[in-house]
Amino acid sequence: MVYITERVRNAFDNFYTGCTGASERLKRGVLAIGQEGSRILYDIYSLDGFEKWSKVLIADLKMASLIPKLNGIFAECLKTLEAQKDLYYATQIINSMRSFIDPTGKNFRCPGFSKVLIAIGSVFETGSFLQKYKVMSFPACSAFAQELGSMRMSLFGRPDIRFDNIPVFNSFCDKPKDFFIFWASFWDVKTWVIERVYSEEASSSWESYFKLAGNMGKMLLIGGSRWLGAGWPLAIVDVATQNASLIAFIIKRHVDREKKFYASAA
Amino acid sequence: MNIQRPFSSAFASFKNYCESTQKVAKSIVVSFCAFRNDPDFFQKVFQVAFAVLQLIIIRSPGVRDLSRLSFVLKTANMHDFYRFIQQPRQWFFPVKAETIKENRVLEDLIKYIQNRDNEVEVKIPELNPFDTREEGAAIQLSELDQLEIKERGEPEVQDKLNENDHSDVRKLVKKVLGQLLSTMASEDHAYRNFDEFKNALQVRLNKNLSEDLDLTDLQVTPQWIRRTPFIERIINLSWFIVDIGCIGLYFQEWRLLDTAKWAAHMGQYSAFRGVKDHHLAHWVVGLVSSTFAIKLVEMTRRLQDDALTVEERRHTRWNWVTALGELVFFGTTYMDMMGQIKVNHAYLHCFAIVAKSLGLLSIVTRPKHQFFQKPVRVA
Repeated sequence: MVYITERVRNAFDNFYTGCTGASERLKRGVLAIGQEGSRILYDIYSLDGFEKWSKVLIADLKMASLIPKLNGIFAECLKTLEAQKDLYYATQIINSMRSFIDPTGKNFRCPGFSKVLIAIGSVFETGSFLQKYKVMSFPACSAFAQELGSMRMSLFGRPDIRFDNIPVFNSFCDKPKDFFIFWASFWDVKTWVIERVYSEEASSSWESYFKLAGNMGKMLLIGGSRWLGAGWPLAIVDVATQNASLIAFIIKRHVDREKKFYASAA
Repeated sequence: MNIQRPFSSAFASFKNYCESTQKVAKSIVVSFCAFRNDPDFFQKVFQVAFAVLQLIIIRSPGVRDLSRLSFVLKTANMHDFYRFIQQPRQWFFPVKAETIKENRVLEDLIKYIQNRDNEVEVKIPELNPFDTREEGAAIQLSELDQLEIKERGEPEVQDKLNENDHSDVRKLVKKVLGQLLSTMASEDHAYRNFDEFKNALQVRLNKNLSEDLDLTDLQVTPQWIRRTPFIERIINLSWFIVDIGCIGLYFQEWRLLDTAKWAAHMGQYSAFRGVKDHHLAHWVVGLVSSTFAIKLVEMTRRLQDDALTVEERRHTRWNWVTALGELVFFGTTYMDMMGQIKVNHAYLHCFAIVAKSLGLLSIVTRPKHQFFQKPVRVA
């Protein structure tokens, strides 16, 4: 009888210890997920974060809209997100100008070739925003772009090719920003490859890989848009590119914040 | 020789002119960039632009081409919708510079160090005797503490204060604590709990002391935390509900949520019969108006009754002004929506321009938070 009571008590003890341990583990898990998740969300809360976030939403919803049952459901939402993206792009010029001044705000500096290209692209983007929403018109620029696009030339032994049929360069007539973004991404990819080949101290962080994926995706989207078409391949590349860019952005913000945090504690 | 002099002075003044222009240009770009990257400022700028554009469209119907632009400007309101992503961090990392009562922490810390001194002698590095700024700050703090203690009636701390005014420990600890809080405020750092905060403080203190100080046994009291007044908690709760309402409104606008259908469905039951006649937009605007009204009352009370520092008073005054502007705008919009008054929409846009411009001004003139300031009550 005593033996049975002992066993029952042991069983209860084990059950109680197991429950307490499980609840403790659950609590720790919820805390860990909550803390990291809340930090990630907080890192997005900035204008650049909103820009990347809306691009991700646009890409994801566009891909979802390819499913026949969901076709057209997100049309209104996409319209709003596209407009919001345009607004962020139009004001990007201010950030680009800031990149020519050092963090102390006292001296001018050269921010690097890719940033210079992005700055030139953002000037065109502001102009294109003003023209798209009929605030201003730039007839001379439009006429020049048309003229350039209809220019014919022979290339790689193929005669009579229109300028606006040449991949990448055609974007200069249509969306000049894309042209500069392509070369900025190309420059970043080239720098990444050269760092890997020649430098032993090259960064092998997750951020650099996601940034690389984002840059290559941008190049593919701008240079290979005709080849990708308008269906699933384009949607998949777009989703991968935008998500990779957002993840790289979050990692960068997170790492920067942690660096500052530990530097202030040390 | 005579010709050279005017040339060199002209060149020097031209150089000065170029340098000052460059300086101004740089500061303009830097501050523009900072404001552009502030989601609140960005939103308010485009809200003002939207209202101005609506006025232009009302006054000159020939410019209807700009309606697409007004749609784009309106999307800046989405930042209300995005505000929810800021919330979770406050739940998991609640210890921020603004939530800490620096004077209370300082007193407890000094008390702790002095109690510890009875066992082990802590060596304080010699402070610069000519640093009058620090000395002045210490005297100011003592006055501040006495004022606060008179208000709170804490005789125990009063005794301690009298014992240790102007001591080197106080100066050093105040300096280190002030530095930590300033860094937390400027870099937007937050800690999971007060143990983490104590660790950070310990690391900083140990850098300044020649002997290691262990703050593990330092008791964290509820007085360390700056309690949010009840009215402010109500205001925060209503903003939270407004944020959720905004999500509903956006989903409604995107035709992803049919609130009318849901209202009709709920209205079938006798208890919820009134729901059928309500609109989500009316509820949201009504709640926003009442929140601004409560805020206005609270700000008036704070200005009248509370002992505030110079910075807090300035901030409260701006909050009062912006709350009044927003109340006029949202209150009029709400009454117009409910059909209680009929207002020309041009006036509504004018109210919006004034309210949002005041909001912009309050952001531009927002002072940097100063710690260990002296709160003063209005006579």
